[in-house]
Amino acid sequence: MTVLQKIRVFSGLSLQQSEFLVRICQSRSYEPEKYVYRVGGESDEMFILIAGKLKAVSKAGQVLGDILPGQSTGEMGVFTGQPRSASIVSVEKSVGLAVGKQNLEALLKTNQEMRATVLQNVVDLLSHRLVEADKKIEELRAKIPKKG
Amino acid sequence: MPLSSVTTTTEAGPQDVSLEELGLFHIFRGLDESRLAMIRSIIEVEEVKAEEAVIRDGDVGDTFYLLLKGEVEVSKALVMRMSRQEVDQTDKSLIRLNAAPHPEFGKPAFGEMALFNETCKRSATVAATKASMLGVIRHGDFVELCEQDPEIGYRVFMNIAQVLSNRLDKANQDVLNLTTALSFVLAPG
Repeated sequence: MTVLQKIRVFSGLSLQQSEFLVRICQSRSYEPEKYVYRVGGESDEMFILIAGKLKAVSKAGQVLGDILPGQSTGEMGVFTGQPRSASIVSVEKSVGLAVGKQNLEALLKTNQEMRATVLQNVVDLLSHRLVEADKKIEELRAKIPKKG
Repeated sequence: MPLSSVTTTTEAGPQDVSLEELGLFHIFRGLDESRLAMIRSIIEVEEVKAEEAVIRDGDVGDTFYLLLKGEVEVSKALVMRMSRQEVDQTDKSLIRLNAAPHPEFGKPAFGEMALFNETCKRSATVAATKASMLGVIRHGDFVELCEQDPEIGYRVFMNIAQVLSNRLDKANQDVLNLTTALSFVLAPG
């Protein structure tokens, strides 16, 4: 299994399909405390972390979470066309693969089966994150002290 | 003449849904008339009375709903359910959806996750607040249609991904706002 097949939006792809994907990837490395993506920026690519550690930071500067090796970031904007919802900053020296939006679209256009798999993964991932966010909202609301 | 059936039947059928009306649903954006007609062919029209629940939080379902006429209320249990009764007491209304098209989001639809996964659990309860008319699409019929014409699946999935990502942005913003608010409320002193 390649590292790409472990990425959630690419899970379920065959070995051959993941090879197509490898061909459009570019390797990148970041020194610590460097911006990978900036909030509000154009979502023109996604990034798959191979080694190191990244963090997602909100517009207001709050740390939203970590991205660890084997995880991807920036994929949602690539599929939905929305600008970056958070900044991604390297915590330590990090290495990974960037997948450009245009290359990915071109690849998926020529391969219907691959496109269906990837889109289904995107929706799965989005709905999973939405459920998690809703749970978090409920947990936080439950902590709000009731007015006597 | 067909014998009257025991199950709820309705006078209205898919022929009463115009292609123009289908095009007003966000999830069908970008589909041409011939594809909208294919979608119409798998729609069943269902009428629900006021107060009647269409889907219930936690139930498994394989149907997706288009709100053609009327109004529904989406609600969610705020505590872990212990019994059906408790849910009734703690359900919190989240939003009311009206069949009139929204300028940005078009006509409302719900239960869309069933289009991907026929064993998915409903994440909220949806009940009619007045007599309403629904267009029902079953998972199996939709999948078959996508196999016939992958472009339909692609468009619909992209549209759903967009709706979901909008909702996720909003939910994430709520998490941040609540976290910030709580950090003040719970701060010592």
